[in-house]
Amino acid sequence: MATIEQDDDRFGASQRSFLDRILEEYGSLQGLLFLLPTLTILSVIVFYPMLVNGLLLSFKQFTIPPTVADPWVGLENYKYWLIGGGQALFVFSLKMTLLYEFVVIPLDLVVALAAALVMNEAMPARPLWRGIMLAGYASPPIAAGLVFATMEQAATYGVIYQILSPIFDIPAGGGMTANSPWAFWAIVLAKVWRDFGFMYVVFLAGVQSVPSELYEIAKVDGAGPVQRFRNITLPHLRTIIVTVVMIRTVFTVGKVAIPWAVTKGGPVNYTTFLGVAIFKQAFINWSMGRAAALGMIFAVMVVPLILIWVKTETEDFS
Amino acid sequence: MNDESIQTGDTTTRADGGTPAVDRREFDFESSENGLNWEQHIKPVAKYVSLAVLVAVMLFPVYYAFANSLKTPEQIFTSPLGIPWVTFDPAAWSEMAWNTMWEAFPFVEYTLATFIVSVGTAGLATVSAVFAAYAFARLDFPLKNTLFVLSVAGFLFPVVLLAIPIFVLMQQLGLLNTYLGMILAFTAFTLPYNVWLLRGFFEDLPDNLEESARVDGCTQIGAFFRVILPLSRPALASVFLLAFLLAWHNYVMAFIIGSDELHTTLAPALIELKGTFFVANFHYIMAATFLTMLVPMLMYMYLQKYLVEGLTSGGGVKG
Amino acid sequence: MVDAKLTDVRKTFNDGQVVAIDDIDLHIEDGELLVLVGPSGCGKSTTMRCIAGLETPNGGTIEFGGHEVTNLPPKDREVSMVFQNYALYPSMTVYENMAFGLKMRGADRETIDEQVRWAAETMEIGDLLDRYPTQLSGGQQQRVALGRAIVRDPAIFLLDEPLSNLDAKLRAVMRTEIQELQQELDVAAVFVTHDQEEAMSMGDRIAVMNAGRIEQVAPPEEIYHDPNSLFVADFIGSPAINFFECSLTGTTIDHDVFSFDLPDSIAEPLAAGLDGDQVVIGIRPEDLGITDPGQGLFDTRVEVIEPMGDRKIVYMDVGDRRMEAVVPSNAAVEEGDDIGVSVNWPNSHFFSPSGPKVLKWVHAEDPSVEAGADTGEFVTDGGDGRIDGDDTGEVDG
Repeated sequence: MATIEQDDDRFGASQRSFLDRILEEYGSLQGLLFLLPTLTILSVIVFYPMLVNGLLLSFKQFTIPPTVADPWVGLENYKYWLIGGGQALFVFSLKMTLLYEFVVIPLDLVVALAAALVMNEAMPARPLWRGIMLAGYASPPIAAGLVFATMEQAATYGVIYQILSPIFDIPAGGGMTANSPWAFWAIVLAKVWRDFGFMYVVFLAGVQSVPSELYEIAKVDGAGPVQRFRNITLPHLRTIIVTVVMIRTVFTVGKVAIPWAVTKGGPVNYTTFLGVAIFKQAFINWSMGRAAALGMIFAVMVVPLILIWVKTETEDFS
Repeated sequence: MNDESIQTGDTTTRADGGTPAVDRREFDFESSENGLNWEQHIKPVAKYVSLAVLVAVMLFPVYYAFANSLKTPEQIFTSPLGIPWVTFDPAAWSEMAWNTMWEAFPFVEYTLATFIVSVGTAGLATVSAVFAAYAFARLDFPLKNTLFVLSVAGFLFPVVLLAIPIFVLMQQLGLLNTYLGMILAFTAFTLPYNVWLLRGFFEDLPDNLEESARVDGCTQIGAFFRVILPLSRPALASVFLLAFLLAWHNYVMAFIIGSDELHTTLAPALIELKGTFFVANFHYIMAATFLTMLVPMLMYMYLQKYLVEGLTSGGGVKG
Repeated sequence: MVDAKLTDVRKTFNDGQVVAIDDIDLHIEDGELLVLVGPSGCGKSTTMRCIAGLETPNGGTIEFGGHEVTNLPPKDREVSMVFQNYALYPSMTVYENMAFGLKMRGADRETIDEQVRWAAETMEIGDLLDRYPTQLSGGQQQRVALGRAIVRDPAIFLLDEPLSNLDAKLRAVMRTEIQELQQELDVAAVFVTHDQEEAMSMGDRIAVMNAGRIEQVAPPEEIYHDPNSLFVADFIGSPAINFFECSLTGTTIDHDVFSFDLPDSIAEPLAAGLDGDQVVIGIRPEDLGITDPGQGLFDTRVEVIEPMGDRKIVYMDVGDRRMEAVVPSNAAVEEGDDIGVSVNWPNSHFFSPSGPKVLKWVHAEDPSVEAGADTGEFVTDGGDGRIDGDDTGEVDG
């Protein structure tokens, strides 16, 4: 038997080196060291600007280019949105945002679930079809929005307009994207096409994780397809659905790209959802103080949702 | 039939219902042949009809952008749905978007900038996230819980709320119109999810691997580098790709930080194009849109496994 | 070579709320295979992890060959370890897996190659060196894990339930192989298992653990024939030992279904050793015999018989307890028979209900009841009733 050369005293010399002491005893330093890049980036790019810039700006009359040297205006910016000149837009925008959520999320859910169920079935070339379902989610929102906006014009190339105009009375001037309420639906179509892929992927994984024995025993027990779906598939997906709906709800509220690409928030302010309103106020009107105040109001509404998510997702973490 | 009736009668006397159940299933099977059967008649049809509809709906916008990018502006009006290899007119190549867009607009620069920013974001985010995630998964340190919540809470925070503060910050730091500014901003947005995803991955690895490595003579950090990191390549690939795509897809941040031509990505460039030349340069929009879609789609096509794994662990499937 | 000595080692988790191991003392001698056995959660794995350095004890000391290693990190302890799930590095080939520990210790290329090939040959995995762990069967992974552990010529060899992921047949093979390997290496080894049969068949000595404490450390025979507590008696042995809960009045033992008088030589030390008048008598199934009704200590009915080849297990109810007797397979007894039950007293153990053994009956005299035909065959040591609380190592009856 080959042996490594060794002296009797193989533990005698092994007093702990300084580095060992640092690494083994002061493991906390090591942990914090590992966190350093992430914490630095998040602090500098997210926490600091949010707390300092975001909050301070909302109390300033901050415009670009600055008209006066950004004087403090106290609660003026907040008053503007809540009781002043911006109130109508704020209330309308809030209403449209809620409507948008109530239309987009259920549509996402239904389409994603249907696609997941179909893609879970045995069929030739299934990986290819599964991949194609993600075409929307792979597309940049701006690109998806532009293609849909093009197809929704009242013109020869406006494919969607051509299909819908015999059924609905869509004005030819401006097509779907420049007439209310069609502009809203123009965005919804693009949004669902582009976004349902996320839910689909998650549902597909969920559906695949249902033990097939459950379906087999249900068949033996004489359950039909609807009963199998209601009693096996849906209960299995329940927690997944809740989580995903929450994530998508929060995501959808603040997304600007698709509404911007399809309608630029128009006609007038018809599709100016909250996120779009902030973006427009800040970077089109360059009235940053007011936009920051609107952002703060918005944040107050969104943060509870985020806290619920963090709480559910970190429950196991202790 | 006679056999079945005996078995059915027998069932009532048997408490354990052992063998008769098998025969009864056969009985049900035969009786259901009379009517329209879901498994045999409806489902196959429903399945392929839904498949056809879904695939057509998903592919059509991509086809639309691709087909029309290969037409002259006139052809788009006359034959918007025409198949490119039917409508394609080699004589008109000199006026086609794919030929002229590079000179008409700085698309070379846009594309290059988008690649630089996306790769930079993905690299920075992956490296930062892997250390943080490992610390949260395996190391002990004070305030671990609080720091974890802070690190991942940003995942759901709407980007648009950060647009103004970050715009001002970038102005203060002189990072407007720089790749670095965009990379930092995108990294900050993608990090929370990346940290969370990787932490889940590390927690799923058996503790024994590092313990084994430590018994074999590594320090904790040595075990991380020598044993855990080589194992984590698929998860790192997921994170890298997702971060890359976030940067590639994002519009708002790219728009506010990079406003000049050489430092803006394709997404804001598209909007610019639409605002200025919507009808006249239609083919440019189609070509540019298809170009912007192409890279992410190719990534999804070839690296679907990693992307789907990354997405599903975020949806609460794995935990 | 090295021995390992644990003194008052204590390990708690969650800021002391959970006591995993509670002031244990353990000496693993050079070259011996010590088995740590106990139910899950008894602290056996934590003890091993303290020896490996994966956990740092909250109190007490650990010495290897006279040197204190209590606070050394695992990499400086020269131990090697086999994990239950093998923990092979998935990103490395078998060769790289085995070479890893040597590489970490800065061995040169030739030494590594020589050692790895020696270990691979020893474990008969020479043809697997280029494979990755996922390409191996469970048994092969086990061999690689063992190879990886022996390749560095460890000071102490630690095995944490290494066989529990194998099927029964392979497990039996690997038991013998690990024993042979350990003897060949002549190195102190600690083997953790929850399987008492594995412990009995493998250990030079066995340490039975329960609730963070070591109940008994002794060679397997002694653990079986002379358990020093209710827990050890109950945990070791299959089918399990029978317990009779009795009370002692003077020299009379009373049970729900029987009573008899003890000889003074036993009754006196027993009474002295008990806290109250309650006593638990433990009798191994093979020390119960079947007689005609009325001929034994008590009468009962056979509920179930399990044939085991050369012998069979007879199940019967005594009071509200199910008791087991092991009899030769040719014994004339059927399910439903009314039988008498006789007892081989010299192998019976008297426990205090709180756990510790008070004494073992090592005595020529039979109790004052008819004890059945078998009793005449007993070989006894002819001495008087010895109090066996001091672990004399008396093993045969």
